[in-house]
Amino acid sequence: MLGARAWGRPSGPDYADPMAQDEPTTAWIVTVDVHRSASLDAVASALEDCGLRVDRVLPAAGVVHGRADRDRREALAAVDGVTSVDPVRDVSIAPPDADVQ
Amino acid sequence: MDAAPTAPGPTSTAETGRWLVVVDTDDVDVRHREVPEMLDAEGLSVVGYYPRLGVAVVERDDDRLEGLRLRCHERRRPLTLLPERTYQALDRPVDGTAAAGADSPTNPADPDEPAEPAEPPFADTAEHTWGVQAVRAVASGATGAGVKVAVLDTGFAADHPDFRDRRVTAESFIDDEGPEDGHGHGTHCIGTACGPRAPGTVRGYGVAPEAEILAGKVLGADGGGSDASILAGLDWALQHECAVISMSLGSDVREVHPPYVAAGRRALEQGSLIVAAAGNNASRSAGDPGFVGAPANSPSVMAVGAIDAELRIADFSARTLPRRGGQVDVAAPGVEIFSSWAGEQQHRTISGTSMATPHVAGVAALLAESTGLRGRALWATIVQEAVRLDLPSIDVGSGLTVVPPLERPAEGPAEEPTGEPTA
Repeated sequence: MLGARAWGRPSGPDYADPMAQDEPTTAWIVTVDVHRSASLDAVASALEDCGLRVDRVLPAAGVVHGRADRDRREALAAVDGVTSVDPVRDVSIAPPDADVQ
Repeated sequence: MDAAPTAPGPTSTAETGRWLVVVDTDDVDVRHREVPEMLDAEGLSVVGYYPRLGVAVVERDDDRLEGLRLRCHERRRPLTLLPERTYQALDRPVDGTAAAGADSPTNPADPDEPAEPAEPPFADTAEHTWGVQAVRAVASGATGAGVKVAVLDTGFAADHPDFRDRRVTAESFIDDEGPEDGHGHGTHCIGTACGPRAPGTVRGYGVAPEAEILAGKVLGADGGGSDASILAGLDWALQHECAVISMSLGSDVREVHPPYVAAGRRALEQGSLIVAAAGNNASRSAGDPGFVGAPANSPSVMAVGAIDAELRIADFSARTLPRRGGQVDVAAPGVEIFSSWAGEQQHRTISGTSMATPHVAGVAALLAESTGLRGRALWATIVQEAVRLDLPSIDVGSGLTVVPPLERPAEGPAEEPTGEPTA
């Protein structure tokens, strides 16, 4: 299910893998090589054709954020201009009363 | 080792009787055309002129050198005049007395120069936090004016009295929450990077007090966020052309996360520098040095470790992850840091690589203001200016981030000129 990506998958006790959830769709961050692709909007459009429901197109960062079925990852990654497709991770900081933040 | 160019003198500090004319400017036309014309006009006997360097060697002639000095002063060219010295190849033990004694007292490379008022152990004073002192913010003469600093965090307490007259742009990337700070962490980080140096009621705690603040809320009141909110905030900061983007956040995962690598690259291409907290996953006293997590482990993101007021590595500060981009790049004050806080409390003292990161962001803003550098050049300057510490580089990178003291351009003579004015 995870595929053999060069960057591997996050692991460890602190990491809740979004792909392990029972939800039918997963939130994805699609990273685009902006130098290789004509326009980010065109890539986003191609991603939509592949089943991504686009939430945000981030032109300055070169990233598209959206949701798609878990099994669409390979297809999304094959879209021209896409360099990687990663599940959205959660990030959190310590609670306000912690001494170390 | 290079041999000495021309070495008639017996010691490494012998003067040749000739003078060096240095015009330190990035204006190519000045170096290639104007300087040689001025040397010629003054009638100086030029031994050699190197337009790529803006350096000439001339025969000593006090009157003519004074004329050159006046002319450069009129034209506001940054002139320095120095006696030429001879040097020797460093293939034998350095003569300590000669090396230390003969150096110009204004030479910034002199390690014994007592230019910095504060030395470790640092301590908060009535005027400034130890962090503001340690990064040498005040002596820098810079304030961050004209530089946009984005802090992507839990938002900002816009009603904080210490920020009454500040220009702040705030935006939320958290669903169902406004840009206000429901946690405190964001207001603390913004305080360190861009807060006041003289708030009046308490000690000054801001490194770059005149920087323009962009507060991007990418973590909710519960301290939680996701790649989606963080990347949206990054994109927003880049669209606002922020020179510095500070991210006191991360996840304890070893894997480099591709979207941050790409976003960091886009940022550097666009003249923005992203600094991020190395992470608090170490417990050094228990033998666990931790590792730099994402996004700080991206090669295009500067990772910041935390040191204490005695310039020791903080117990929680994460160590370099042994892979490309996984290094700690620089260290900054991150233990017992006093800064602004949201709500009635208004101020708070806490620790973390989250507190170290905005110190670097503030330093970056000061350097961006004083040098005009952006992106990779700014990154290189931060690393170059850092004070090396007697600690492993895998913990502190290039050392304690500092801003160099204000450079007073060498314009004009010390005493008023008495010679004829040159038209």
